[in-house]
Amino acid sequence: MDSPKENDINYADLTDENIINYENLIKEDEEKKPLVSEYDVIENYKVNYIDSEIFSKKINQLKNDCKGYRSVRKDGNCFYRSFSYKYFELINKNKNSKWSQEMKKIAKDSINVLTSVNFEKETIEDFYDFFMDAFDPQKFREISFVDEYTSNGIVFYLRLICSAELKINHEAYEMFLEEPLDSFISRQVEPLGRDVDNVQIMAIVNALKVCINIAYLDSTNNNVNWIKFGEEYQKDANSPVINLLFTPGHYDMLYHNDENV
Amino acid sequence: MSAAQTLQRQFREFQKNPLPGFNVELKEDNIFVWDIGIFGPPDTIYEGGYFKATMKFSEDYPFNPPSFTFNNPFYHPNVYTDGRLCISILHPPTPDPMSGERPEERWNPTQSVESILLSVISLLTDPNVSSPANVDAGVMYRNDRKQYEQIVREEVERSKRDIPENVTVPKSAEDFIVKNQPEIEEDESFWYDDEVDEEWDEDYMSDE
Repeated sequence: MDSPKENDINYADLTDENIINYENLIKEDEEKKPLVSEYDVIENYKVNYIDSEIFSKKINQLKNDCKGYRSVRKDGNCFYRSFSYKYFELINKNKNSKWSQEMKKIAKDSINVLTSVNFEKETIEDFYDFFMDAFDPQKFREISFVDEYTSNGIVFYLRLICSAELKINHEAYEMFLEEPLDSFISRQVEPLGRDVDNVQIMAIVNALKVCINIAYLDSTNNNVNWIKFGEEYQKDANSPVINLLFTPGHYDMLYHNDENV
Repeated sequence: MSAAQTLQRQFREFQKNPLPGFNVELKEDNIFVWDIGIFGPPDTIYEGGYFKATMKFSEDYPFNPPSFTFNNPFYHPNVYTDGRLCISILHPPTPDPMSGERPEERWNPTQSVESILLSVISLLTDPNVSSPANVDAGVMYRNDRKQYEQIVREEVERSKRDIPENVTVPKSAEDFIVKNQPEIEEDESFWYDDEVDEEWDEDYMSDE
């Protein structure tokens, strides 16, 4: 698909109606896409469908560290979907490694963590099963991120993990919130389709004890900015890190140069 | 996994441990449409009544809430004149500052049919008059409670003809309390056996 060049857009024409129509077009277009795209080389990455000089320059910069990417559907669950895909992919790639075993143990125990903050087991079991099934390489490839119902179940379970961590260690997070914790959780964390702020990322990192490294691409002239969450969980240089790419309003996955694809 | 399987499990759970005060069946064996019968709670103006309603579930249940509609006119501030129930638990938690509904009261995939039915029962006698679906009923509930109760009592009388023959009507408040079920020794694996699941699937799927 050809993307419009940045200069092709006539900003004078951007009435509310035009914007809404454009948003609906994007939404329809998105719903036709797979939840998670095939792997592609980083050169082909397009930011928000637009060829812009500044973003091209930054994608070029990214090449120093990263060779490829996968995109996820833009539906407000992009962080959760990108994160969980990369998490299960890294674990399944080397199933018997110490790190993978540790990750699985934490995930297995998560249902007890959730019931300890008063989620009823019967109402969360299905989502837990979807999540745990993704530790099976075949189910991961064929179902977990292919079947929308299952994939949304995994996204929802990750939201519950985040919610439980926020409740359990609330004193570590409350200072970042502009509203009471309960209201933040029921408005911003648990509903599907709601984007993340850094607070949710921190909570997920702490709950699952993983390290996430995010490359931030914005439209300023500054260089690509990498921010690591949960560096303390990266015990040595070999323990896997989940590399993600943030462009305004959206998260996708990145593949580091030394990562096997 | 699909919504049909989730619903089948919840439905089997209802058959195993019925919720006192409710009669739950499938409409024409369709797992996505449930026939609900609500016995009017004792010591309320609804006592003795039997109110039929239909719950419809979507293919992406429980990610989206079901709908709940009374089959017959139901005079209540939070029920539209066509029978549709308007209650926060059936609304997704989208930002809607005008609704006055707290987000934690809204739909969330950890809710269940049981939590909806319990919310309906508490709404019957405790209407939310701040955002009425039936404005007339809301105004009358506030200003002329006597006449409001009169209308409800007439509906309760009419509703009695809907009581199915094969159902025992709970009579006392006691009958409405969830009793501690005696532990029945049962082979748990029966409910989770894959083969059984598949048979259920075929039964329900073939109707579509």
